[in-house]
Amino acid sequence: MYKKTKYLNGMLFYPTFVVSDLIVIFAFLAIFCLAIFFFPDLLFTGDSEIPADPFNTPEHIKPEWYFLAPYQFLKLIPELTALVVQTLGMLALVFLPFIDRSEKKGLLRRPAFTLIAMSVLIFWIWLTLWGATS
Amino acid sequence: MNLWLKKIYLAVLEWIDYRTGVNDLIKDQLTEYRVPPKLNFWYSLGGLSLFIFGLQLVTGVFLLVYYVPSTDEAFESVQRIMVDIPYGWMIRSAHAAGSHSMIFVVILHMLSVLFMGSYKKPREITWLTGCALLFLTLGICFTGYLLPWSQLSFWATTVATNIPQPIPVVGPYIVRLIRGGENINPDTLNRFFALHVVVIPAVMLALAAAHMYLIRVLGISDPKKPDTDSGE
Amino acid sequence: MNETASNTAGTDRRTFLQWLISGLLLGAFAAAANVAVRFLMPPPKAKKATELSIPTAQVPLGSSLVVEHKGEPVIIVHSDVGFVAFSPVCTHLGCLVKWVRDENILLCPCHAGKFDLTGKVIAGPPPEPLHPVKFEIQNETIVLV
Repeated sequence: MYKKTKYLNGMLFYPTFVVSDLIVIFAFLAIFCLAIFFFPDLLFTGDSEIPADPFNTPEHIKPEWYFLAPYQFLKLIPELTALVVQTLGMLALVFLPFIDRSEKKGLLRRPAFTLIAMSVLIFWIWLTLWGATS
Repeated sequence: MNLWLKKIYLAVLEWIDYRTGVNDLIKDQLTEYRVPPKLNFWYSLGGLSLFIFGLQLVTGVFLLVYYVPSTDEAFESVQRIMVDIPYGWMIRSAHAAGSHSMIFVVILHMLSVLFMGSYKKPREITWLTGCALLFLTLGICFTGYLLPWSQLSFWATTVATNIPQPIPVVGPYIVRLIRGGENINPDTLNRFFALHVVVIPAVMLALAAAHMYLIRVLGISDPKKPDTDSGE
Repeated sequence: MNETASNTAGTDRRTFLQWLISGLLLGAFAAAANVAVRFLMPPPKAKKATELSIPTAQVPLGSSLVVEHKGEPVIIVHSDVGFVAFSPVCTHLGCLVKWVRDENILLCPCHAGKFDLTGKVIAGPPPEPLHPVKFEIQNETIVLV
């Protein structure tokens, strides 16, 4: 079996790392509470306050932000093609460790990978923003 | 008096340790476990996802107390939680905000792993369990979306469950399997409810346990150092 | 020699049993999977062949109406060329189309698919035309069959 590095002068998991985890958790909770107590309208909008009616489609329905990119993609190209492209993309992501077998890890040490990953990420964000504004 | 209490406290601890070996566990896993020096905020995102998942379990169980999974009563019961039940609005808002933040944090976590190259050998299986957890997170958000039985839930689910339709041969069957019928119907609500509150959370717990076990046995990845040489 | 022979025989028996047990387990698993899939995919309920009658007065010229027929929505449009009836379920992703009078088209609100009054796709992503619904007009009533 793979022998892991021991880090004899590394930081202690408890308390040092646990405390740095807690700092992140409390920072998150601050934003979280801000959203719940001061911006409740962001969470529940229009059509979520009307009971479901199978005989009437509301105008302008849009998915949540995390599904906007695939939704926008479906509008652009024929459905089956879009499905195939997205499935292949997902598979590439899942099997990435078996596709990218180089040993270099840092961002700048493997510019080709960084370039591809950044382009895909920017394309995804662009689709999301486009979907949000259209 | 204080000394006397402390004696009892230590005796109880020793009694427990003698029967469980918990002291060694705490030493090995917490107080004497060392991780690479200088881990920044990106390394806390996995822990944060776990924290939000726990939060979702708690708020989810609270909602479960009043929510009724039936097409006639679901919408009303959610309105009751929002209006009549003390702090109901807070619990539901927290559950909704929690779902958004969990997806956001999980995606950030994945991006950090992606750009730091932490998915490489020997951490392929950790990456695979992580991918499964990401898809299950999206799945649990998707199934939960239908439960309030509002116009938004109904039509968003209609559109999304129609997506597999054009797949040759099996497409229509997949759609029928997801919906339990030709259209979104009362059965769809109930199967999504079962998936949302039992099936997906249980699988996610098991996968999260495997994910963390692997992180523990393989150690935290150091982006400056390829993992080819084993040992120090 | 004898020993080796009996050893081989034993291995054969063991291999055979291993195959047998794996096969049985696989069969049991397939049967269970069949039960699960069939359980989760009930056959559609037999639709009653009932007729639905709507007085034409309910759909005056220049209006449209969505009614429930056999558990499915049906859109009836009364335009200058007379009555047409379709299943309003968009062939793209299943939203319900609406009649836009000014442009004389059926518009899907989800991805802006457009159909003309014969059901044909004019614009947008829908892969096939709207499904027509058969109807007759008898004595000022629209009868959906």
